[in-house]
Amino acid sequence: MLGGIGEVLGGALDRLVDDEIRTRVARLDLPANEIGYDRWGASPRDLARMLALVRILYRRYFRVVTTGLEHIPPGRVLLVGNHSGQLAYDGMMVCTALALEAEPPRFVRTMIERFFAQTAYVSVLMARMGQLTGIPENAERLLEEEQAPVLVFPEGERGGGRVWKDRYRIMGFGQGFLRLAMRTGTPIVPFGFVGGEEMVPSFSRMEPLARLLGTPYLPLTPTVLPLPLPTKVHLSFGPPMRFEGTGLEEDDRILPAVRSVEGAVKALIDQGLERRKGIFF
Amino acid sequence: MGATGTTKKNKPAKSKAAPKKNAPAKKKRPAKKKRPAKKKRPAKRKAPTKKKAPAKKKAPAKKKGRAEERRVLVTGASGALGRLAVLLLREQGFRVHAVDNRPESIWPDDVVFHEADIRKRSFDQALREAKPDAVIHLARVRGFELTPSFRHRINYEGTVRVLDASIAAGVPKIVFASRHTVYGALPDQAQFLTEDTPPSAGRTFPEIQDLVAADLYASGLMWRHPDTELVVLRPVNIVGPTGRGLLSRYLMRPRVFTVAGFDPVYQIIHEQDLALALVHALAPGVRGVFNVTGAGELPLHVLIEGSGGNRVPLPEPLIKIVGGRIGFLRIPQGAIDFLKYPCTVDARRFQAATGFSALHGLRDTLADVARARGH
Repeated sequence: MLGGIGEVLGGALDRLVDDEIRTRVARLDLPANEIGYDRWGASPRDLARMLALVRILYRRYFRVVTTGLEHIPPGRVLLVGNHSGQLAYDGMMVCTALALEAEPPRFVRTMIERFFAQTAYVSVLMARMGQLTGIPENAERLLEEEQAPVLVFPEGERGGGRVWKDRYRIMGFGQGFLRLAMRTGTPIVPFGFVGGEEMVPSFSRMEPLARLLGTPYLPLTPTVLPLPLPTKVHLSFGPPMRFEGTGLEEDDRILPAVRSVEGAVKALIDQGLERRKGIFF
Repeated sequence: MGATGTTKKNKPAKSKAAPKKNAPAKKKRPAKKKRPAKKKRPAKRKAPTKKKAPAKKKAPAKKKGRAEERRVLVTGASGALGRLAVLLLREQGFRVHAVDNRPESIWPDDVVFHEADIRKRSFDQALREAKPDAVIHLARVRGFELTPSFRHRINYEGTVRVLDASIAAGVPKIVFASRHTVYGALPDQAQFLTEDTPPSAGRTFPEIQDLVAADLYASGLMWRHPDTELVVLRPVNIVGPTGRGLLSRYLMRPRVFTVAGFDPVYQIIHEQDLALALVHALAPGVRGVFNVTGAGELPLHVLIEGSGGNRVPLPEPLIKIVGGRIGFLRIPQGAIDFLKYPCTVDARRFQAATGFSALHGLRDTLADVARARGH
């Protein structure tokens, strides 16, 4: 995967791959070709290794409580939720939830920041996991040709790089996901992710320094590196929302729909906040 | 999009029958004004081709029951791809006129070779002599050690000249082999680009502006000459046992560098499959811009290692330093993006229009690349 080191690492990870992971990944039904990759560059073998590793985070470290998976309809679907955690731990947990706990298991494609595709090693890792740069054409192709669940964080880096004082506040969804859902006739399943804000609290985006380094933001965190604290995560999915239209409507037809999705996500966040007894348990 | 990928089933019948008399197309399109004939036009194209010499085998997709041999002129015929195309066309029953400025190659007796330069009068002469029913334009130069102006003169101006002269001569079908590289490899670009995507390689890779310009000129001609069946093919990376082509040059080095931390998805097409695609493009009614791909997708590291290469991942800044040394290829900065980001195409439109599908699988193709490395 990443050259020589990758092979050693991969070999070590293979020992984590047990029957659960094997059957789950097999049931994801990745359309791999004769050399073991799908057309986007995802590899079931590497996916199994990664899933085995992330399962530890999911079950032991963040002890994720996932509810509402039954709301996710079969076939194409857009998963839309709040973004947090500086690095994409939230995306990772959503993908893991659908791979390990949904029935049948689903292979989620996350629309990631372009920045990741331009970053050495991260770009390979993301491609092997089937996570793709967030470009509308990519999402459309995944929905229409592969009937995939596509994960979108419409806040983008404004959500991912959110600072402490804004925690659990929706930073404003873009319109792109909604127009995409209309154009492709895809249901939207909203979700709220609770625990991400305390995982990697950030007090500043340090934008001038980030600009120098060419990153969208640079979190100033108590842990220095954006390593996550072991917060308790509540992940709640809501009922699917369907919007009729062509996706070419005027903004004032689209914006109320966007607001309604924001509202649904906010309600799911509040539900999760209510349910948790403390940040770490 | 109107010009791209339309397939009109009946078009050729009329454009073939109607303009029998004399140099057609050209005459009726621009109003009567006799333009200062840029090229002395092959005016006496005597009512051609009724020759009843029955074709032995016929093109895939002939239909039109005429037992007439189709004549095809191929430029760049002595190149690796050109040679494969000529031999395949011949096998399919075409009368092939091979054009190249390199005289040395040896051809079967029934292939007519014209030693000609696409930029010179000798090409017009070849066109007059051959009176082709179709022109396949493959002539091009590659290699970044060539000066930009030389590349421009051959790849752009040469292409303009071949296309213009062929249209002026009333050739009803023209196939131009462009490349998928014209789209560019950009971090913010979708995967599986369709033919409607504007070629954007110029943003980061000015060295191949000649290819982009030629592609756009050819595509634009479709609007100006709706009666000519013009086909622009944008095949993905061409590889095969001859070890020719830009990607092969990279793969054939004793050490093949990659950019550490990047491993984009590649598409490859076996050279024999591309020759086959060229034949498919000759089918009557096929017109437009088409991506062409081979067996499928694979990450770059599999392409290198699967074909027996010695892969050396290097941090990006180091590539500029070692390029051209100790067995590494020297490539321009813009080409490095092709080692970082995918440049992949959606080729279903061509398949729908012609029924083409590649005969060589991925493993099969990799084995042939490995064979090329052998010698």
